[in-house]
Amino acid sequence: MTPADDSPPGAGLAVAGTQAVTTAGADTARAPRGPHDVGGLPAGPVSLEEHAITEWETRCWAIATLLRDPARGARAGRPGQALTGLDESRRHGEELGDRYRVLSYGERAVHALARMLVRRGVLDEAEITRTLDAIR
Amino acid sequence: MNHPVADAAATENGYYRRLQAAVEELLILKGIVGRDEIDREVAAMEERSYRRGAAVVAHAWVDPAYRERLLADGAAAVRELGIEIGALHLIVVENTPAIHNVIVCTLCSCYPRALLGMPPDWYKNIEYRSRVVREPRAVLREFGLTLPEPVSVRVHDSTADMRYLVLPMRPAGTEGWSEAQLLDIVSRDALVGVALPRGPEGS
Repeated sequence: MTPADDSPPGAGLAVAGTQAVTTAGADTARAPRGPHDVGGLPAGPVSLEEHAITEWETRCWAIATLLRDPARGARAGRPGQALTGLDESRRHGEELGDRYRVLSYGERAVHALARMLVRRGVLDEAEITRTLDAIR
Repeated sequence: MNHPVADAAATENGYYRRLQAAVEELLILKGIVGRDEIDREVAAMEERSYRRGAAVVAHAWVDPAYRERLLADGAAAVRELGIEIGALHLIVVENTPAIHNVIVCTLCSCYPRALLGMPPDWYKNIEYRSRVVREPRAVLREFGLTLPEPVSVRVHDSTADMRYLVLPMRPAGTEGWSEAQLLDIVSRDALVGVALPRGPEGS
């Protein structure tokens, strides 16, 4: 269960020496909330409207799942190393700050997938941009 | 790809759809993943639906010994039915006349996908994640579920390694029903705890 917390997001909870966005942990109980840390905050009504997951969202999830297998790392010159990770993916989403709420779940996921691959040098920014620009 | 001028506009222009396509194309080109492998993974994902979770519940309703095993070790009991759920811990929480259980993941959208498929939009959205831990009864009313006041509501916050599944109460009037009939009345929402299984008409 998530403990109730009446504080508004990030209100005066900064701990000396911590960054604006910190991970949850034993010593960061009073750290500012990240944009993902919404449990207990006020919010509007729950929209029950559902959209079918789009093909690209499904394919993004499928790729991220396949690349999580360390056995696949060898194909990218990183034997025994996973090319994606669940925690890492979430972290890239959480670091979006205010953009976290603007982007959909699927958009955050593909952003994170690209970041994880660039970070490992599997893909580079320029080739992604070039390829993306050629796609309509 | 770092900061499209405006995200809303980027979404409208299909920026993220094109980013996915670009990443996929490059990974295939470099031989890191095959299109057929992606297709197979997509097919496997689409096969996972809440019907699996419903089958687990229906089996627990007709087999008291299985129900005990399910509550004692969810992952092991689910594997007994041939459902692979990986290394996850699975905690099955049982509704009783006194306790109603609801599942959320406040930090992201952890969900027992192996048993329920992909989570619905509302499960991933900020509103449900924010409010269901603070005012579960109000949120449940928005789903059309009004629980009598004496019933306690327990909200379970999932994590990356810990998933929950609700074992709803078997509705009155279903005595003698087959497992297949029972399976059909267990909805996805009942397995998350935002709805109850439908009993026979008029009950």
